[in-house]
Amino acid sequence: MPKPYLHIERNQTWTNKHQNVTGKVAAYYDVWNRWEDQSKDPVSWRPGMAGLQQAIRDAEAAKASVRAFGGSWSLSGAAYCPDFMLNTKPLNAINVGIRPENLRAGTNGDRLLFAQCGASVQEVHDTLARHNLALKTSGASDGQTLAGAISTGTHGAANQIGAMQDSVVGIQLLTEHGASHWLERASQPLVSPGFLQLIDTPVANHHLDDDLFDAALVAFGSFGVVHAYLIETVPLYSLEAYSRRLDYSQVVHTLETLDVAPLGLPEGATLPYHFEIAFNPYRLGAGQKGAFVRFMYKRDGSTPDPTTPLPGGHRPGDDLLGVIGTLSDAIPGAIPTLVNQIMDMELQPYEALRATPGYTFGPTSIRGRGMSTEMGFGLQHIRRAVEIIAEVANGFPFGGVVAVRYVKGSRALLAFTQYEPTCTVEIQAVDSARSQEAYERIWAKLEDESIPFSFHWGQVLPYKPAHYRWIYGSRLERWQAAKAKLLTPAGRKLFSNDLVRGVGLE
Amino acid sequence: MPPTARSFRLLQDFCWAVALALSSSGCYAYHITGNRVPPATEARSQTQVAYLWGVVQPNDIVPPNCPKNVPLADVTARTNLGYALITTVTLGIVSIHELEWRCAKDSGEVKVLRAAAKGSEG
Repeated sequence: MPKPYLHIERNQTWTNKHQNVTGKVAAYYDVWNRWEDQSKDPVSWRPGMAGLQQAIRDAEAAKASVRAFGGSWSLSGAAYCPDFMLNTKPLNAINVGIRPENLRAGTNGDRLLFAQCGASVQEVHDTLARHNLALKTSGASDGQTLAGAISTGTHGAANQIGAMQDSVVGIQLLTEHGASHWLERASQPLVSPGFLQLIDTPVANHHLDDDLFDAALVAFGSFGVVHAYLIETVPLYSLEAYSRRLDYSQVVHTLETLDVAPLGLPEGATLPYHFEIAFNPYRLGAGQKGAFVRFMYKRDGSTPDPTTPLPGGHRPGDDLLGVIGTLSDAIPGAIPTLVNQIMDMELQPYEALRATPGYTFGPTSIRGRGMSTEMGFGLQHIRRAVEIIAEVANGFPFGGVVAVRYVKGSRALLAFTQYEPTCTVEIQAVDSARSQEAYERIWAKLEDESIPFSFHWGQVLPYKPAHYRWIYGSRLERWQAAKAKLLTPAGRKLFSNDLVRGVGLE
Repeated sequence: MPPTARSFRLLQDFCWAVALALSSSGCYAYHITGNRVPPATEARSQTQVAYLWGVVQPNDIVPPNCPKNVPLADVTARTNLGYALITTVTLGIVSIHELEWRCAKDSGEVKVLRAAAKGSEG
């Protein structure tokens, strides 16, 4: 086999998309689906897979840790490691529909998607749409790669579907010495030996194991480097979206019950496919219209692609969020007014806007410094959680807005969407010391009141192992046992980083 | 504190905050981005200097991190307050910009699992 093409930079600085995580990297690799002479292969993913395997061996030889990353979307330290970092974005092979001989007898592969780790959510949306298919769900934006989004538990607000990892039915992992493993649930075996041959994986490394699969789904790189996924898709649909502005008192019943009947939605008491409520924590009083309800009904079939946006004009500058962060630290009294202005500007009401998922949730061109934390709650705790956030914000103003979404509980052992259903509370804020302080006050108050809550692995979170043991309990023990089945102690260290150690998972 | 003193203090705070914010920012950015063309790489940049009102300009950049035949996903041109001052002070003789780019991806969709004859290509 020829050598893979790798573009290597030493002592490079890496910064995440939202510019709240940055650090030096001893060896930075761009891994491409090309051989050393830059030629391609008839099996397009083969050079890229060989490149990842080579990079893993290079890291082992250097007695260093290695971490693959994609869209750099995570706001936590999930993607960062100071030793070896592998950029997987060029690894975007996507194959829609699997032939019967690559599957077990009786399995229909027409709606199965095989995709390499670096395929972006946008690429997957666009490719699937050409085949009249769609992802069941995705995050609110589309710049993440599949592996980045799935392995951190990214979700939308499709309350009957779950998070992105809940559509995955096969995982290809590269572990110590670059060994390739194919993971499936024993309760849902799909592929044939022919498929394993196509992905250069020995039959001995075919794992049919529910716990191992459910552990590896959300493991943020600590089980090895994900090379590819097999994902279930659905016929192409569109989403009819609405955004309405109400008082907090009008939505509080729905917030804690998911009973939408009192809201007067177009389809009455029927819970929309996608349902979320954003709050302005400084406007929860009567008549202040501080709740923004965004909901979408699923409709059959496609819609024409929208025209290209932004034909000219101006938009907020790349540094604006950073400037607001600095200003808000210096003049906290101005924050509520600033948040009111931003929410009024950004969350305009609309009715019955229809588009496919690929256009509803993207494209995104986030620029500038921002930060965000996201927590998962059981339905019974969501009202108090929102009130605690508002109490902290009003006592210690910070430049943040709150969004609550509802997600079906996940089987993934460390999914933060583990409650049935999980109410996710995202607090997006300007990147500032004050925002960080506000997050810590909110977390402390929730813990003081013994409200159980999980953390999104791809957003700002505390390094407190006791918290994660409390929240995940036996699921965490099963996750660690599964990891020990796949990796030796040296392998666990190879694929570890500060976040994994900080939350007590190495 | 009397109202006038309070107003003065508030104004002083505001001025400090604006100065602080400008010192941590002050970049002018201009972007060209492909229509639904996702990037394959992280942003890389070079600072370019043109002289004598453009009579002498820098050579073209051939991005060293993009493989052969790979186009760019996006390009950003940046300048800042300091560079603008240099251009002003030198009466336009020196003009500095930072150019940033990200490579695009190779085409992603393949038909290997669907179209390959059994046993071939794998």
